[in-house]
Amino acid sequence: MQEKRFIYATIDNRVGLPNLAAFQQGGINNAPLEVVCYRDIAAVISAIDIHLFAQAIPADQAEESQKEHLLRYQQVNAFLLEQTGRNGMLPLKFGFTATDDAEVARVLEQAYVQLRTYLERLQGKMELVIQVTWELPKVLQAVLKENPELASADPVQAGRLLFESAENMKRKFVDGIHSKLTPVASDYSDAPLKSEDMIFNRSFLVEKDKEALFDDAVDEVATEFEEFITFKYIGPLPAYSFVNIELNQGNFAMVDKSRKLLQLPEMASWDAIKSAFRQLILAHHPDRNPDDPLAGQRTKEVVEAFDIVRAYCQSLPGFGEPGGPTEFSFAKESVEQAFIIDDKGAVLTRVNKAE
Amino acid sequence: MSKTIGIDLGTTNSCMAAFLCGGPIIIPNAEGGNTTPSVVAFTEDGQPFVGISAKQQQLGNPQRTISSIKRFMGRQWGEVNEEMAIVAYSLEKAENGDVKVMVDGTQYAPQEISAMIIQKLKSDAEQYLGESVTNAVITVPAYFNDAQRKATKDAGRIAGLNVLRVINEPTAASLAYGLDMSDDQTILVFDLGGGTFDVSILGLGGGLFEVKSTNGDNHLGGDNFDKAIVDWLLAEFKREQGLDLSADPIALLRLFDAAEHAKINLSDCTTTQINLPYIATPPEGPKHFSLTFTRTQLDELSAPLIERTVGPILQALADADIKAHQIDHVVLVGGMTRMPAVQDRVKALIGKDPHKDINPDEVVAIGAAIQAGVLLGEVKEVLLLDVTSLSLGIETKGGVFTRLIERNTSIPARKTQTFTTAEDNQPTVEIHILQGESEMAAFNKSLGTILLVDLPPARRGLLEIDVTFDIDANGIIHVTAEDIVSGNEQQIRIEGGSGLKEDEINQMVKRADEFADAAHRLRELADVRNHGEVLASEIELSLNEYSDQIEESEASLIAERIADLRLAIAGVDVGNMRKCIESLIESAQVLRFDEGEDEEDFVYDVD
Repeated sequence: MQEKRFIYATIDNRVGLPNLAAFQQGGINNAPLEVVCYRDIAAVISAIDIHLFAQAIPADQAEESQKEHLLRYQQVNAFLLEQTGRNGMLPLKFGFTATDDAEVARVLEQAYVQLRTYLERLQGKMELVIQVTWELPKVLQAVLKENPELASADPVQAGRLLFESAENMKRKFVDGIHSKLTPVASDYSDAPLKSEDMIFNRSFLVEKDKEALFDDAVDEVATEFEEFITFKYIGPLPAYSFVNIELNQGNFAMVDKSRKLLQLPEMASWDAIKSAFRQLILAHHPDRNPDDPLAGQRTKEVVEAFDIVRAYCQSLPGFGEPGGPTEFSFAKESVEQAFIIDDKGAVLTRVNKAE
Repeated sequence: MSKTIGIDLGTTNSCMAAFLCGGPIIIPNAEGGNTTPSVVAFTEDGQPFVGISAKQQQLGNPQRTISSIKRFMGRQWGEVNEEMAIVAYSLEKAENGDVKVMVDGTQYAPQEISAMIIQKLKSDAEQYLGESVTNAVITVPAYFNDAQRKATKDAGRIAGLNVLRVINEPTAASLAYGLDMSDDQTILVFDLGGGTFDVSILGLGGGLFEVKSTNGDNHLGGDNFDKAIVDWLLAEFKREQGLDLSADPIALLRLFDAAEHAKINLSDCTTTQINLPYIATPPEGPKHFSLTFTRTQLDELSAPLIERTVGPILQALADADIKAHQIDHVVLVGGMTRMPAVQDRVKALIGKDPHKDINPDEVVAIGAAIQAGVLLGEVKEVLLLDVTSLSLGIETKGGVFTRLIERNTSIPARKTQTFTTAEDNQPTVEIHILQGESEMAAFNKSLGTILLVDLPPARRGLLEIDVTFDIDANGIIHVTAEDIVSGNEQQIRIEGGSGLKEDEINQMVKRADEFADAAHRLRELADVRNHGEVLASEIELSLNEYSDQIEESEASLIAERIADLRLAIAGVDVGNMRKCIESLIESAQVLRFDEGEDEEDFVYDVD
């Protein structure tokens, strides 16, 4: 059995840690919850058996087989939200794992700025989800009642007009909900509509102090349109929809392509990497090739490749420290085990596009 | 063959250099100075003049004298409150939110004022080199954003120069020193100029100058130190005399002038005297202001300003992933680095004695000339790989700033981001582009909005539009978009952007040419007038002395022609003046003074 650490959330540890033992069922597969601290933040984790967990890989079945884990993950985060109160917590994407506690600490260290920023942004806030469905037959009847001439008109024409009127009604509902709820929320995020009759599915980020205000607004708008639409009000939830941190598991294709572009062997020292970069820049820079219109393009590719290779090397344990590795391996198994944190913002966001 | 010059377009002073006979040299201006005050003044009839003469008449002509224009380059009205408090001339908000300078009812873009300075440098360089100058490398503070860089490039164009490259001042400074440095060195450049503070960290290896990080403060420079001194002087004067001078523009200008001088003096001495007679003239009698100002007092006043340099230095070190002790060389740039307290602070922070061999006022221009040499293929030993000093990104949901190109990324750089539509059949996609370091879009500099228009009808999320953000070697941003599915280049418009439009630039080029013509005519007029005046008085003297030795009719003819010439001089007709000069010389032949020498003086270009 191979163990990994499953990360649920990041929390603020300046005001004391929540009493994790109070959540008796524990994490996934009932493993006890633990914390790993770095500076003033901490990750809430539990051990998981990677093989058990990895069965989830076939994409279409993933959701089904993971349901139980996903449920527990949500329960843990709901518990944390309640425990941390005003101090805020930051749920991480489901499925976020690290090999051991040291690596969890390294994730916290490298993504510290982003995590801290998000924690601050989410402090005292929670997510409330509003899902709205409408009853189309009722709406159509109402339209007909208001426009009795439609019933006798040409059926194709009437159908089109009915449809248009219904669309107008829908817009009126959505605009009404939007204009009532958005002013009391700090932020919102739209999610895909889950059924034919769903017309609105939005997560609102609401300050805890404003929860009552938000409730009132929901009541008001629900009463206004109660004849035609049904509100589903979910929450409070951890702010799942408002966390968007790029943390990438090592992407071999991308690192490999960059390594080859820099003309590096599969094992290379940091000095060799830097030197390869310099040589290529000296060869391709547009200042040295004023008549070559493609020189700029090539330079940009070299710079991009170097950024990726550097991000990979820096993500490896002991990089740049005395006694750290003198050579870096670009072999598939090494890269895939690495955990590249995109602290340079956008370097790695196009991971999936790399062929 | 035409020449390329390197221009350091400074807030208070500008400087130029060229690459000649295998090395960079500073080109003096027409007045013989190595630096030219970045001051433009206008005569009553709207004629601009630039440099030391403009600076010298600032006190008497504050409303028509434009100094520190660099602080307004590429800036929006809302960004320059601090700057506006420092200058005495009028500013206005343009329709697109840019700042404009107003002189006697005429509006000038800051680019145009800068162009006047560049034009003077260009024409002085041409005179000195005896060749036309068509290309230039112009330097900007590393912390200049896209709008400020574009504005600088436009200023060069308005002045009739082809701007080969806009490079960062600290980077240029390191080039000036780096030619003599051995391999694998790390350089920290501390650049405190008249209006901006920059710090850059560079690595030199294998002939590649790689900027590792850069940071700074766009609102910190010598002007702020002067302001601190002036504020203190105002308070002192109020305490002593009970008078508030802060509303008196002339008194303020004199105080600023005195503060700057005192500050400069205190770099070499430990005490200096500030003397401002007749600083105020209230009804009860004139007031004078005189006091002794010590370096200790100056240090106290400047301490908070000097401390503001520490944060950016530490950030630059952190961004470069370098410890202070790993810095091999410290290079100082900008007149403010002559202040001992500034040097001490840098030394305390880095633990190295700074290099001082190259004049800090000239080092940037020299570096710019070297970069010009690189671009022309004359310098092969070095290559510069600079970075972008500000993160580039877009506004995403909830007003969040999402970075696409992080600061300190080597340039040229490129980043492609895929966008899609949020609604069915959405015909346009709007992308708000910004530059800055804040997590929230609202606190960053907006560069404008791109509209992807005429999108083909499609269900939401189906279209994929690749938008490529490209930062060129000048640090200037270009955006292109491609619809991946159809492969069509998408039409792009940037809206709400600041800066000059193409036709505005063309108009300014025309206006600059007219000014150059007018300046040429004015100079001619002044020359002819001077000669006429000198001639009239000299001949008058001789006439008085020798009138008894010539015929009376001849004497009266000469006297008459002297009077004619003086009348002509009072007018503006150059042709008429020349005619009068010629006839006076002719009639004065009878007088015995040295004709040969004078005749030489009287040879004019008749065009």
